[in-house]
Amino acid sequence: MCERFSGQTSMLVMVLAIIVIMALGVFLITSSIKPQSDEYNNLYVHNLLLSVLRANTGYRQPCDTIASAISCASLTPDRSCEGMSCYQFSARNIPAVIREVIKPSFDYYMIVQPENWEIVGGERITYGNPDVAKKRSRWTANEKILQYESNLQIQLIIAYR
Amino acid sequence: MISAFQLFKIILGVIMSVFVIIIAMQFSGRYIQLGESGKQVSTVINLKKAIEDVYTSGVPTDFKISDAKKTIEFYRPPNIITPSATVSLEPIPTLLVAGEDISIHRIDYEIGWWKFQLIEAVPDTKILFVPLTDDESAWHVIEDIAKYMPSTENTRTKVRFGIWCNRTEFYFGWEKNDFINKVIRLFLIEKRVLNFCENVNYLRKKGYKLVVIADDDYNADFLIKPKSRKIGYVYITKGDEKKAYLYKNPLDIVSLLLGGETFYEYENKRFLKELGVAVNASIREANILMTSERMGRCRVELASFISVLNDIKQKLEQMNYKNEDDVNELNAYLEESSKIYERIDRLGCG
Amino acid sequence: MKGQSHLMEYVLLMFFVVMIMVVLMFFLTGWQVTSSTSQQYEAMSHKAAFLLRAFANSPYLNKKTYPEGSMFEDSKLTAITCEDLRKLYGSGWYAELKDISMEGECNEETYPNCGEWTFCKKKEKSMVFDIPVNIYRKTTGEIHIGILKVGLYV
Repeated sequence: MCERFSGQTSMLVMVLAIIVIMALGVFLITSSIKPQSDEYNNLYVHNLLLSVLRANTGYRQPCDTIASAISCASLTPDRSCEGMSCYQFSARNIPAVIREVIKPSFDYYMIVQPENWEIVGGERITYGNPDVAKKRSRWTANEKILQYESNLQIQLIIAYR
Repeated sequence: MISAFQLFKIILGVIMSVFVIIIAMQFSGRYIQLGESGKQVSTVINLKKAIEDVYTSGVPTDFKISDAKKTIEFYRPPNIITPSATVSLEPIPTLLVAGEDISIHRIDYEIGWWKFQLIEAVPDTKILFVPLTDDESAWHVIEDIAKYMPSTENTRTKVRFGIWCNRTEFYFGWEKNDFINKVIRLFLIEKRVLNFCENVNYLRKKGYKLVVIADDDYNADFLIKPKSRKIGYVYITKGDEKKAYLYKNPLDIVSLLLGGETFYEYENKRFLKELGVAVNASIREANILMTSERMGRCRVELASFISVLNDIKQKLEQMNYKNEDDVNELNAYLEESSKIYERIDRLGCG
Repeated sequence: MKGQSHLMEYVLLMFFVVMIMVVLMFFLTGWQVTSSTSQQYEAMSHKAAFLLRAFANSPYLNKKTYPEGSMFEDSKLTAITCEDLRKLYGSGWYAELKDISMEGECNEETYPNCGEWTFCKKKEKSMVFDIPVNIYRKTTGEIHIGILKVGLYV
């Protein structure tokens, strides 16, 4: 009986071996395909945040730069800026500036909060899509706006759409 | 007795096994060799990446080269030569002294309108200055050299300085900032006179680099004879051979100290090449700004600036960095350009 | 017949063993090719990132008073040439900088009412990387946002 089935067993073993090797091959090939360079994306998000914050808005103080507009919106939100409150000005202009600059393949989420917000609390302002913060592949940049008494922490997160 | 079929199976099995073993041995043999040299090249490529990071950010870092003597056969700028490959550090101007643990720093040499950036990557280094003249110029030379050496306060690998000798003592152990701000100040104010002590060989064996500054000829491995505040000669003695090198700024002295003639030639060529680029670009920029209405208040200064830059440009075209007259003239133009640029900057056009 | 079927069985077995070895070699080769292509991409993106950082921090292009870099000065950008940049940063690339709020190629005649700078010949077969930067407009004192693009020749 063993002899009758030995040929069939050999065939089965061969087929199983072929399947295992193909699976190994597929695994090796997929593991060698790496995602887009972290180095470049980290550089991109850092520069995006830095260049946006330093840019002039074309308006006068207290909203002459993006950084000052954010600062005003966070610390003195009701202060007047070009016919509206600082908070309204920043909500309208900051997303527009970022959208103009950021690559279409990226989406973003920006968080503005006082330093050590987790401990001291305070007003937190956000711009963009909050789902970006939950994505597995995302890149983050941090900057500080130095203010008298209270520094502001700015975090920008980007991810592929 | 075995049957023909069994024999057939044995022979076929042996052939297949031999075939598999040969392929496996070839494959693994190739990869063992590749593995060893691959590891060395990989280390050097990582070193290059670290140098690039320091060059672009200015933030110093430490780097470990495992088995440094085998990994880096030698460094002939801008190429690192390993047993299996040559890795070029271009376009970054780098003075690299190999060692197991090295510290990578960016040195900025600035003259107002131009900044020359150079990487110095060195292992633990001990430099003892021996000023054998009570002339203040000796201390200025020491200060200048220290200024263009790495500041290792924030790295594990250290560059330390000291002064030698006072009878049989020497003072050693300061890093750059303390050495410049405390030690040199003290000696400049107190004007202490030092003497050349014995135990030279002991210090050499312990790895100290001795830098002697004197007015007269002296029998030393590395002797600096300043001719003026900016220029002078470095004499390097190796055995019976003594060679003189003209320096026009502290970077020349540092290059000689770290790597002798090879580094000196490389640094000079690179310095003058980048100066040429800076001069051409600055002339064009100044001309562009002259035509702008908003820069009207700076027109006179811009015109003077263009004039001195053209002098520098002409000088560079037939410059010999080993000729004293050429070097003096270049330094004079550079100083004048720096003063004019300062005025332009104060006017808000810089 | 029994002997023949044994022999055939054995030959078939050997055939499958050889097939497996051939398939294994194909997969190993395929893995090596994919791995080296991926390594080549990584090397290119690293070179691009270095060039982008080098330009963003270059004292030949940037305003002195911003040590964190990425503050290009429009007069410096207009003055410097491809030849100058080749001497400083080697070859095998081209670069473009565009002010998002101004248009027109910049040269000595169009300055300061322009917003585009191109350095070195643009080639069709290039791998392009870009980052946002700032451009300091010297005559007005304004800071604009620009996009710096570096293309590596393939």
